[in-house]
Amino acid sequence: MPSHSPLRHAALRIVPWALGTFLAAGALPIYLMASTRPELEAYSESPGAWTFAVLVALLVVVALTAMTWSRAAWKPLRGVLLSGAIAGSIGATAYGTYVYWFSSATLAAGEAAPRIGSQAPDFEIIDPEGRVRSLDGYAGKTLLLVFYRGHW
Amino acid sequence: MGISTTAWSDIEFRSDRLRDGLVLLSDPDGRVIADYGLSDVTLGEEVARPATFVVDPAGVVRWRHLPQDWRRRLSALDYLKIFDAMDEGVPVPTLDEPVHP
Repeated sequence: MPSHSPLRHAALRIVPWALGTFLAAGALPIYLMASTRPELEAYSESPGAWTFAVLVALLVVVALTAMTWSRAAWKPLRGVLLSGAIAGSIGATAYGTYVYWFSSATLAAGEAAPRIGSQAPDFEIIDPEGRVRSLDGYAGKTLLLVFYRGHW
Repeated sequence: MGISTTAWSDIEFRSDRLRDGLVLLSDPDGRVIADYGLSDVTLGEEVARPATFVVDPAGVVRWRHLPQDWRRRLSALDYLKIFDAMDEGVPVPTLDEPVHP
């Protein structure tokens, strides 16, 4: 490693580290880009899609790491790519575990939810146009009421 | 009608992709969600436990769906099947399970 410039010395350490971490964390952008495509939307919620994204990101990192062996100038990249890949894999696995197992396993049971045959609780919510939307406002009509976890 | 605790500014982004006729409402305080016994806390944020109700003209719950997995969602086709079954007087699945296999 050249030592004539402290700035270059620092850049050689920081840039590969940032690059390695960025690439290793690439699973999330890959997943998000793929899952928002309409034709892939049906698969976006499967653990398989997440696993695929992690594997693609890992492949990119491994390929780049392999390239550092044939290019002397890329040698400083090797260590950080590998450590970045390990950190990224652990992070992606933890995130996937949360999304695909923990967040479902801890879902509230909804035991207090209105049962079939019982009166639905009334509510009043002001919509973006300023109109009051209430259950009573739909009296005389059949209403499909869907509660979403969030905007997704 | 769809209700979530998400702020309206975030819902608007999503609503473009939904068909006309579905009213999307925001319940940022989680009051309605609490009234319906659907409050759930994830990562410190209060959200709704996903649920679907069919409320008849008299305000009585005629059908409900409380999936065990929040990723499991009913499609428009599922809703049509439910309404068709109700119209025909055929028993509608009452289980807290998805309509489709």
